[in-house]
Amino acid sequence: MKLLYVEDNADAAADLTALLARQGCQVVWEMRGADGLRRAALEQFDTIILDRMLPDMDGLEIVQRLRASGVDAPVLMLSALGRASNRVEGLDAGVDDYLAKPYEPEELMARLKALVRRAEGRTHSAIIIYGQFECHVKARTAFRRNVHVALSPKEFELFRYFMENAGEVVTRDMLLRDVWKMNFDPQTNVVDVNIGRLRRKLEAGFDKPALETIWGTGYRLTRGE
Amino acid sequence: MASSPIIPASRSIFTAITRRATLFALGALALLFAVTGWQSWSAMERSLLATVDTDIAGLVDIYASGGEGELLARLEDRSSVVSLEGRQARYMLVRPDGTPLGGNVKAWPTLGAGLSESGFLTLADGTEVFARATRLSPDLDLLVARTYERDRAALVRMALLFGGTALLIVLATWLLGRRAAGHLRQRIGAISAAFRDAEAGREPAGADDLHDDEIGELATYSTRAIGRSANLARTHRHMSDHIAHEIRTPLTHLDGRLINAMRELPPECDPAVIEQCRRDIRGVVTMLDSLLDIASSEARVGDLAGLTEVDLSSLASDLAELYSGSAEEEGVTFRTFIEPGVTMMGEPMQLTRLISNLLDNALKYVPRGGQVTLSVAKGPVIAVQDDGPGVEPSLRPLVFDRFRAGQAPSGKTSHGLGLALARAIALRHGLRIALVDSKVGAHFMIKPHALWDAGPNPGETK
Repeated sequence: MKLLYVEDNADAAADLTALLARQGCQVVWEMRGADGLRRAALEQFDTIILDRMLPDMDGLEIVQRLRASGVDAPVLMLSALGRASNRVEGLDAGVDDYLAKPYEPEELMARLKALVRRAEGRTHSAIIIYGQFECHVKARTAFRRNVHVALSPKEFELFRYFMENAGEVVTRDMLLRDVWKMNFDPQTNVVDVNIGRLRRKLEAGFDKPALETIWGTGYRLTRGE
Repeated sequence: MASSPIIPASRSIFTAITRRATLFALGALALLFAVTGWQSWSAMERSLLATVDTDIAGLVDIYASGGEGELLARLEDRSSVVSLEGRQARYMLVRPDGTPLGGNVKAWPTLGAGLSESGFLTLADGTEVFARATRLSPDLDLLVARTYERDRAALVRMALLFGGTALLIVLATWLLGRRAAGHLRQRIGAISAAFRDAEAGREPAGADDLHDDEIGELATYSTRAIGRSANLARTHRHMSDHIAHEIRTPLTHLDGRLINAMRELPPECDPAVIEQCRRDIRGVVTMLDSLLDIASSEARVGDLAGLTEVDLSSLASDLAELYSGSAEEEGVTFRTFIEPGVTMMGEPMQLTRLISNLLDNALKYVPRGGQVTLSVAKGPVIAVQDDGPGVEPSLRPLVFDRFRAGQAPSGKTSHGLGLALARAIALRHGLRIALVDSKVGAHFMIKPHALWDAGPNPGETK
């Protein structure tokens, strides 16, 4: 994965660049917004990671100018401004995802992978199959090893989200944002509880786990085998 | 100048003033016309009366001195006289039984000579005259009249001139008033537009009115006030952003170092302390965000920018679905009474957070086996009620203050900012939240100020 990272803080850039390099990513780092814009126009990147508060330019302005100039690489804004209103502003300005500092490395990777998947335009057929699991999108039904799993409408939305991101880490923030349309963390265990209910239904009658918890980050759908 | 006024001309106060001024001018001129016309007509009548009476006085003298024959001769002489005013003399001398003796009037009109009556009348030949009839002797009646066509023509000319001038004055008043009204609308509209832009979150164009008058002064002060307000909002925002940035950035580095430390930790060492440090970092960040959110919401009270129509019923139903699992997990009965179709102007995410904070609060304090109720009704009226331990009377007035966390039975801790943020969000949306009286537990109610004022609740604490 080739990434452009625009960040004015050298320490933060070094930390993240090292993290991404460990994950096998090729990172191009620019310190100034104007240089980031120029680089984005000259080269092709899988994803652009953008700090919001840059000394020469606001990150939101950079996104708007990128979009105006036809650069359609997905943009992840990585910012110290992490309030719900900041996230809404970022998404309204055209960023594809918004992650507040400090962040979990696994969460960052999960989001980057999700962005790349979305940018590649992977579309899902009417039936998504992963390991023992089947998701019949139109019929809104779930199966594990051909056994029907009765889910409530919201549980089905959750299951479908996991199936669309099968094998990848799905973070709590991603679930809140994409399933419950919330841009803030309610600070209670509502996500964990709902995941727990889904997990119980998917695992009832089976030995192998359906969902694994990634500490501090989120969950991953297993193949169930 | 900013954009043109939004108030249409038909509703403008200046248009109304112009309309009233025009109608007043029209009425005043019509009254003046009527009074002047009546005065002119009266003057003409008095002049005709004086002429006729003087003529009769002379003829009476002639009759007294020369008798009937002399009188007839003089009447004949005077019949052809036309005065300088263009009035022609008309006479008739008759016996009381109507027998004509002389004069240039062919038939006696309806005037009574015995009573010496006078007035305007039309003779048998169609001539309009002012006449007086008088009895010279028991067997002789005299009619003396004067035509007044030229007097009347002069009056009509004067009326036309007056009316035309009056219409021109009214038209000029209307046109000048309309122009002045349009000018004033533009100037006031520019001031309103500057306020409107500021309220909608746009950069106000500024009501750059350079006139040295009251509106110019109003525009100057308005521009300064808007500028100060916008600058204050900008400064507040920049300050908030910088505080967040300058605190989060070093915490991010610290968190990164802790992650590295965990990675390099020998297998025999317990990472619990480091994990706790990382949780503490997140706690500080969450607290900081909540404080900034409270400040931001309080700073935006009355600001309509960014508000959209929100389906509160749908929003509450989604939240209820999200929280029903948590309630069940906690062994708490969660009930909802959500009236369909309740809408309001607001920020969906903020309203979601408001209700979510109240539900979090209720679920935190209600013990297993308890009950939490969420209700939404038109108004809007939002209520979250529980049958938990409630709030101690001494703490009730402080419940919405920052850092006022109670002791949850579950032992869960918090920064005590959830209700302070709920209050700030409510105020930002023109709502007021209160902890109202209830027999058991806590009962939080949110509704618009007007509804509280209409029926104040005895348990309202804020």
